[in-house]
Amino acid sequence: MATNLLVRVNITDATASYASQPTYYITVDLAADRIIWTAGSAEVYNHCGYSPSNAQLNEAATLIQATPVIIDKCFLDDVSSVNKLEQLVGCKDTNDRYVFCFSFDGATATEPTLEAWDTSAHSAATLNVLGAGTPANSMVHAICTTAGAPGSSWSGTSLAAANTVLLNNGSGALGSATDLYANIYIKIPASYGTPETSQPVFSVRYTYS
Amino acid sequence: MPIPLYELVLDDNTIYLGGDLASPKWRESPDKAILSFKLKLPSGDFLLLEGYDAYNFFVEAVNVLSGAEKGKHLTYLYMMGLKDAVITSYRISLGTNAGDMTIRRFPEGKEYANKPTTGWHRGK
Repeated sequence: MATNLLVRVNITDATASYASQPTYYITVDLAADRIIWTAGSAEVYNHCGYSPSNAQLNEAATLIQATPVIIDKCFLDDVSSVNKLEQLVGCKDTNDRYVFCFSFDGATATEPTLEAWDTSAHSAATLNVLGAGTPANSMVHAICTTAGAPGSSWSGTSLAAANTVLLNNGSGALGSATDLYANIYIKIPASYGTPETSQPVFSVRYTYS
Repeated sequence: MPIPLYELVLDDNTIYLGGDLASPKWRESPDKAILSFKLKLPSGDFLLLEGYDAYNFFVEAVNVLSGAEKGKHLTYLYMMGLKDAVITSYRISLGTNAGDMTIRRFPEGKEYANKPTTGWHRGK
């Protein structure tokens, strides 16, 4: 039987799992919705009521600084809602456990992984945000929180190409329907030399039989 | 009637027909030893495995949750046979260059990203 995956994001309280508080979560429409990391602005804010244009997102970009900077906000552009932009909880290096929820409705043959690539071809990670070809330099930090909270000032895995995150905390394939969790943030190095607007592909790879 | 994704000949000489890419029905196959395992390839040809101690089969998918090409993509079929603690893995592409096959051998327990897989059925 096929095993299906629903991706959900927590917009309310990072201490509450999906099982305990399902209304705290929005299910991502993978074909239509967008996930946006941004500094925010007078035009790009929680519940703004429209999907921001590229020009508005450029205006709301995070500024490169003399010290490392974590992108302040992560929004789901929930195109089916009136609010449109919904701000996720977490998405920083703070001790937030229940942020991204990956709900599998059955068993898998392998342990699901979280990955980041340039495109859905899943063949290269050359974007600056993904380390410009050096995965260890990826600005995307991700951590599995299925088994527990990440702690404060967590660093996790520099997510890019073969640098992936096992979403079942290294415990292997899923035997039945299970919710897995991760937290993700983006940290721009100090005085980074190349500004970039990019659309890296975040993917969950899994198997079924 | 669509051609099934695979065909198993079981040790009581019955035949079990698999489902399709969306629902392969491998885990639902009878708990009987497998004599042979025939997989239909994207090209329309067939790949036949027999004589292994155990067999496994699964479909790999990626759900893309950001970027320009969002949604669910099927990437590979995996057909595996275990013999003398060595696993022969046949990985068949479903995306770009559909039908391309990579054949590799792994120590038992390291057959997928250096980790074990579940869903094995015994052979004969």
